[in-house]
Amino acid sequence: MTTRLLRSAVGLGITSAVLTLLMFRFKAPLAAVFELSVCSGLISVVFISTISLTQRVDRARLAVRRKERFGKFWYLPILLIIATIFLLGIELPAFNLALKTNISEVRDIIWNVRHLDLLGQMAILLAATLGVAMLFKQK
Amino acid sequence: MAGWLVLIPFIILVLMNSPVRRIIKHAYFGLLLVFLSWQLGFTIFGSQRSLNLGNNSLAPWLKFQLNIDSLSVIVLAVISLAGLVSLILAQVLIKENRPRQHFLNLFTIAILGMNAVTMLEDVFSLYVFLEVTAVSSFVLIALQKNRDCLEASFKYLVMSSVATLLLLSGVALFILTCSGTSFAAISEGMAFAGTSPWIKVALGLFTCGLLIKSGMIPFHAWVPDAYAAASDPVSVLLAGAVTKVAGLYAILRLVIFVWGFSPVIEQTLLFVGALSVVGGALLALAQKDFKRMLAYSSISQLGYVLLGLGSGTMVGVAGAIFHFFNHTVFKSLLFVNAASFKQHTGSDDMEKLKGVSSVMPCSSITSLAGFFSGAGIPPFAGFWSKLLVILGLWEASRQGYAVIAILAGLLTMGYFLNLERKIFLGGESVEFKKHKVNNTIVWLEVTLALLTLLCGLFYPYLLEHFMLPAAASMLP
Repeated sequence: MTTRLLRSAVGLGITSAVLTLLMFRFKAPLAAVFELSVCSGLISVVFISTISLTQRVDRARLAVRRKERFGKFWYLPILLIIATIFLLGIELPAFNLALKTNISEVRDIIWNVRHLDLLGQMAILLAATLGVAMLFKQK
Repeated sequence: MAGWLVLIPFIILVLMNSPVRRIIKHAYFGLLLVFLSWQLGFTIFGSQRSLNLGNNSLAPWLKFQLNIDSLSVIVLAVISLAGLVSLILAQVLIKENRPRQHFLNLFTIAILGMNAVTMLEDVFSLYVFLEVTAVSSFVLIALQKNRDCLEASFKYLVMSSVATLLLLSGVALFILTCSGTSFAAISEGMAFAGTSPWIKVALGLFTCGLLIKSGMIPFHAWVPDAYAAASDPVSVLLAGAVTKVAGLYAILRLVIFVWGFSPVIEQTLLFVGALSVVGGALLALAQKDFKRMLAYSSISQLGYVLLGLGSGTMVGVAGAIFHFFNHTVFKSLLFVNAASFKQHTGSDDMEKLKGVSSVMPCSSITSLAGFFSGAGIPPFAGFWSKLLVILGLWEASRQGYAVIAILAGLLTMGYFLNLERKIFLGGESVEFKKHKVNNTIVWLEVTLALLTLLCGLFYPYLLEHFMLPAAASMLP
């Protein structure tokens, strides 16, 4: 059960990252920035930390599990490379998710339009990181 | 000023997690204490104009779209008050340096998130900062790392994820049907395409998401576990500020700026409010754990806020805002009492509090002030706010809901009487640890008890200068 949930959390993170890339390629930078805000690691990090806390694992078992985990996800790097080649190599039609905005630059959106969200994302990541550091710290 | 309320906690957080903290090792608590006191002072004594002044004098990349209005002033005061109580309690109860540092880090992030939620005018930013508050709260609940804490934290995490999904779906539909995510754009979009079913679906999804965050019945499953399992300073913060700001206040803000007081909205607020008032009180009656009883009581008390809002009248809405503030004061007091009783008896079990008044007179007497205010007994503040809510309901010809509010008040009296009976009339228990209660906790209890009494005695002043202007700004 734990392994399955862990796999679903990792899958969630990767899907979010690919979705963000796709949105940038589809020239919908605002939606991509929204997606980044949503996924910014928070769900994945907190999910993984909580699931992992449900069971105590010793170091030897952890090493075995780590190896197994890498074995199970061997196809992911290949998929990522294929997706990147596909995204960089193909010209895609533009659409703006019905948002009436002239802003095309991702930089402008992040720094001039949604910079408060950026502060929020940093705070979320800090909270998640501090949470993981605190909850995983061995006594 | 508004921008600094978000930036200063962030600066403190970064500073106290950088190498600088080795030089100013013990300044974390002091910095937060000064910041929260400053926030409380400015919100009480500063004019609205002065509070918004200087928003545009920040660097261009720091021009935040934040606004302080007469309602957010009250909520900022609520955050700083609950924050101060929680902070002082943590300083007393968390003895070891490392756990205290963890608490202060996450506490600062939670304050940052709540301050931002209070002043935002954009649904997507609202979502982001609701998550800031939620993520810090998950970890704060799990701070003690025992089984109960982790279970409660996980429950909150799951429920909050459902809320997040609903909020995000709502935002997506708002983007599709309106021209942006700001409150003004959505409001404009609603005026243009108000009959669109997608708008209604988006409104429904967003409201349900926020009701889960506020823990109202039937979305309350995570609340009792979270309040009961969390450490005492965290319980104060959750009950006093987090659930209110991240849920109830967010609903309030959307009602004011986006969808207004329509009959459907009023009916929904009244229905959920009545359900929470009665359900929370009945469930509180059945509890044996002090903090769990306070958790259900919180659900019931916040139901009054929804009832007042749902009345849609000036008196009712002013009563709702007043009760929003009062609840923070008397519930913080009762959680501090719970912390003090636990210090002495080593348990939250109400059976073990029998006769505790003989050895802890100060905590027992101050718990009476919390009880009187919560149950709505004059001259304590809770009486006036509940009275205003009931009058507002009557004025709006919602007599049925007014009767429910009165009857639920009797239930409230029932569960508080049960507690006080054990404290004062139970006969001395032999299991007391006989630990001396910390003087700071006693000082906190007395201050909060006096505050709830003074708010009751000077309610006309509070009503005239804070609650009525806030209610006037909310109503069309």
